[in-house]
Amino acid sequence: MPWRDEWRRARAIAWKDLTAERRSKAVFNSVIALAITILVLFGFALGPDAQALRDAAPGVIWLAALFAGVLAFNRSYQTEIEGGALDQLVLYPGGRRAIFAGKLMGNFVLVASTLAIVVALGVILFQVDLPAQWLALVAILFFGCVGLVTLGTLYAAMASRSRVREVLLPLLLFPMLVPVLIAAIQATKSLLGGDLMHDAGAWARLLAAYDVIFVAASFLAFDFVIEV
Amino acid sequence: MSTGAIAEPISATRTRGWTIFGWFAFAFLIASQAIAIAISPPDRDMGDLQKIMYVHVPSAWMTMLAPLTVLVFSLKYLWSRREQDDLVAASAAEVAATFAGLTLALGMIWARPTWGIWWTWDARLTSMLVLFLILAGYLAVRAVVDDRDQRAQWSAAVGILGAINVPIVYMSVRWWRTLHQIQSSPSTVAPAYVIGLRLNAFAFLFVMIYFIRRRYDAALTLRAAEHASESAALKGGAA
Amino acid sequence: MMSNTTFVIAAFTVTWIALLGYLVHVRRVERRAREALDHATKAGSV
Repeated sequence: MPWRDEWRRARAIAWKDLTAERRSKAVFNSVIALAITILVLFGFALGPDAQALRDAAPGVIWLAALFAGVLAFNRSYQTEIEGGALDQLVLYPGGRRAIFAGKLMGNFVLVASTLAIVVALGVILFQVDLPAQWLALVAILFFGCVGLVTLGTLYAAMASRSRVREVLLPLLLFPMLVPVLIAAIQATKSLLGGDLMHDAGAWARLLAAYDVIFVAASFLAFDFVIEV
Repeated sequence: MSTGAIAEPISATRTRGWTIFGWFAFAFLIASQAIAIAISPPDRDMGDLQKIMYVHVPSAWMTMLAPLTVLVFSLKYLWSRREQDDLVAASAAEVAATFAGLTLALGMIWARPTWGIWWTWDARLTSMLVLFLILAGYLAVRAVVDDRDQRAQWSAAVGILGAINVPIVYMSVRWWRTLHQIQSSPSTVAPAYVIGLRLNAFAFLFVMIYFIRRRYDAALTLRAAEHASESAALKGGAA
Repeated sequence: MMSNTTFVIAAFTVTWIALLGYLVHVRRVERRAREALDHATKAGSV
């Protein structure tokens, strides 16, 4: 069954990346370290007034995850590019979708872990109270993370193979992620404040719609991006 | 992977036709602006500032149309793999970026006397800024990628995804703004101003079409030059 | 405090600078392309 082959191949790619990561921990450590540093620096920039910190917390959390994620996205293609394995993998029928799915899953695990750590630390450093609807918060974190990682993985497929990768990825990615950032930050802010306006649900729907549209679009686009 | 390497630049007679169109477009623009300024009475609240609408609004409308062109021709390129389609998309993107920048500048020139500040995180202005950044990304891809096929396909992907995002960006920014009620920008146009606005909108449209065509011709000529120097190099190498 | 008329004039001025500026830009690109084309065809025929 070609579907199952693809899925197996995607899982294999993700597993290979994650196992390599688990052994060397190079990327994971740098990403987490960067995220924590950003969190702390924002603490200095915005504090020490507790209310100011509490108001800024949702924004800082998502920005820290975003900047740290950019680091991860470009690196996720590094091994294949250096080893020249990319050209090989592309030749397999249905292989391209598997590559994208594999990279996507690997990046998702990495960024989701980072986000979890950032939230935990952010709650402490920025003196935030955890909401009663923490499950809703997890859902927002999930949908936001999917949005970040999908476009990040796609654009990194281009940026990581260009000569100006450090600049090109943020330049391409950040404007595209504006809806994710707005929705995720507002929903987080709303939930941390007890969702008095009941607007977290609306933001969640926007996030979900965005995710559906761009996961589909990215899979289609990846075919064209990786074949040249 | 692209088909039909462009060997000949655009013919001279076609260029002359378009040059005449260019003169017409600019003349029409001058006339439209003159008419609009002459026939419109000062607004009750804004006074003469209302006249800025005649450049700001058409510029904004063109900035919406141009990415649509980028979208259509990017899709067309991925379907046809004809270089011409890629070059039209790229020309439209450059023109779009120009109009986006102009719209932002005019928005700020309007905002300053109206609300006393140069920038408000107004939904439309902010969405325009994000669109400008998306276009900047598109142009950056075209600038840094040297391989022609890679450049064309990557630009197409970036252009299509960017264009899809424009309405989503606008919606999310608008929701974001309505949560924090501040001034809304004038959205309804009083009937006294509609004629002037429509005239200027068409004028801007003609100018935009002329710009895209002109830029596309330049791109074709550039491509023909590349083709010629490549053949010359091949011949020289074989000798 | 500048009068409103100043801003209106500024708006129209900026508009024309932008439009004519872009026209100049396109013509410059065209000119460079044409020069390159002439140079290349001459080189090829040599």
